[in-house]
Amino acid sequence: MEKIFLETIRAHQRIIFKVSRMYRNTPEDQQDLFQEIVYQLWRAFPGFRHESKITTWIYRIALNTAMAAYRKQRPPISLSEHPPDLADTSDTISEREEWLFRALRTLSESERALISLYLEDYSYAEIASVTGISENYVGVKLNRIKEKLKTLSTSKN
Amino acid sequence: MNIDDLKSEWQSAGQESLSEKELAMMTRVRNHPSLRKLRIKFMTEIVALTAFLFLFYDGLDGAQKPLIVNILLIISITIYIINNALSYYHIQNPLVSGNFREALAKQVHSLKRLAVFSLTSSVVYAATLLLFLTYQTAFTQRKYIILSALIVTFSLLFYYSWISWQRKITHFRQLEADF
Repeated sequence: MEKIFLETIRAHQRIIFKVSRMYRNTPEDQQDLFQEIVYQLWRAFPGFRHESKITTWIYRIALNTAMAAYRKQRPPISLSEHPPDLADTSDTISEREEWLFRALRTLSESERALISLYLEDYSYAEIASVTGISENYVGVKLNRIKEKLKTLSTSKN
Repeated sequence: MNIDDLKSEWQSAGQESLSEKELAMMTRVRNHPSLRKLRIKFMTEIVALTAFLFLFYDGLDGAQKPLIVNILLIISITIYIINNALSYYHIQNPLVSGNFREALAKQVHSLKRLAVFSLTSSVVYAATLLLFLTYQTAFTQRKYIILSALIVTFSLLFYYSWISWQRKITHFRQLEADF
């Protein structure tokens, strides 16, 4: 079973990287969260019944783990420290990616969970199933989050 | 900017740099960033308290105190050790299955129970220990002052512990409400 688990996680480790990077500010904290998620996935793996896609299961455990770890409130992340300009077409992918993660970290924890599933191209029905809220409410919440991100991107232009 | 344009950034983000061997190491408690330290701390406390259980009768004149005071001390230490084990189990097994709202609701429920049990066990342990140590003591004014200072210190520690639990519970309750 360990072999199958490790092959699965190795193939999908990007998801864990993204969740860690979205929920933690420093590389050290991101590394710790990555390890915590892998540990929790390993513990939960025997209970995985293939009723959902493996990626959905990984997202569910990873996001739940990120939110379950209580941390004292720190000063909010500011986007005003001259982040790369998204409107500039000369931006490299990594700059846009960096901006994306910095922007995501300004959102609340629940908003981060929702938008990550949306950006991964999950349908509203799938997001509703993972989060436990109705499809309509998923739509409402996502519209608000998109507005926030749009405001963040325009405010620095 | 269209937010949907960010989907490609999101989907291509991350690395696939870790080998199966490196990932395998992450599945072990001994390599866990916080569990390893916590396990050592809890094990040290459990060993120290168990040693105290075996030694207090001779070392602290247990034979000269009433049987009920000795029994109360043994029970309170046992409850405290059980609380330590439960706390470790809770940290090692956060509720991460099910949908987010369910998991958060369970987390709040579990934290409330843990907070009550943890504080109760601490208060009972401190009170019983003080009772045991001061039983049949001939109190002088100086001893009353020391006892009062101890009671005030314990009370402050319990108060801050309660505040800390409440902060955690409120955080998860708010997170649940955010969904």
